[in-house]
Amino acid sequence: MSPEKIRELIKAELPDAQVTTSGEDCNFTIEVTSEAFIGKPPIQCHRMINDIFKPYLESGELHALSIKTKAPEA
Amino acid sequence: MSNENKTQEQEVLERIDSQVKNNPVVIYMKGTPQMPSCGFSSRAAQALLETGEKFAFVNVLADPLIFEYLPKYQDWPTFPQLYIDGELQGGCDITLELAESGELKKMMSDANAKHAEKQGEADA
Repeated sequence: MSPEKIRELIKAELPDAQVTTSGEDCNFTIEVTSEAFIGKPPIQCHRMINDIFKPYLESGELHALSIKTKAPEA
Repeated sequence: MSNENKTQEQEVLERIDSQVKNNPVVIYMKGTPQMPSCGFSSRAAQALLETGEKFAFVNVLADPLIFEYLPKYQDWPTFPQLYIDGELQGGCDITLELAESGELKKMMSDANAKHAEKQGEADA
């Protein structure tokens, strides 16, 4: 999966998201900043991102995803 | 077939539930903190060790049923999984985030203290 596709999928759910990716092919680290994370515990933020990629992890298109979520600085 | 499977699944989920509730801090990981078998498990366990707080661990590679059913328990697909005071906190990424911010040690020590208090009441 390409970094562009990853960004696209996240933006479809979280239009304000700032996304940076590193890593390659099937093993990505993504860092997402969005207002949607404000006031939420980390597990909820991660679930929001995990849910987006669940079908791709299940199909094997993505093997591993390392996630970092942040709320924008006020 | 489905009936038998359901019984086994329920039995395993109940076993997990009691481990999570009876241990203030428990990590489900591949391998052990001393001999981890996966980079993610290794980093998460290392973060727990560095707090100096007590924690329990379950080696999911040594228990194929837990390996199979744990992802269903809290609908979290990957290992490791860290539970503090009965609540899933997350996997490796979140454990490291919590460790970095210093929250991890506090959460572990609060949960350990709360559990010790409960034990004391039960013994009295």
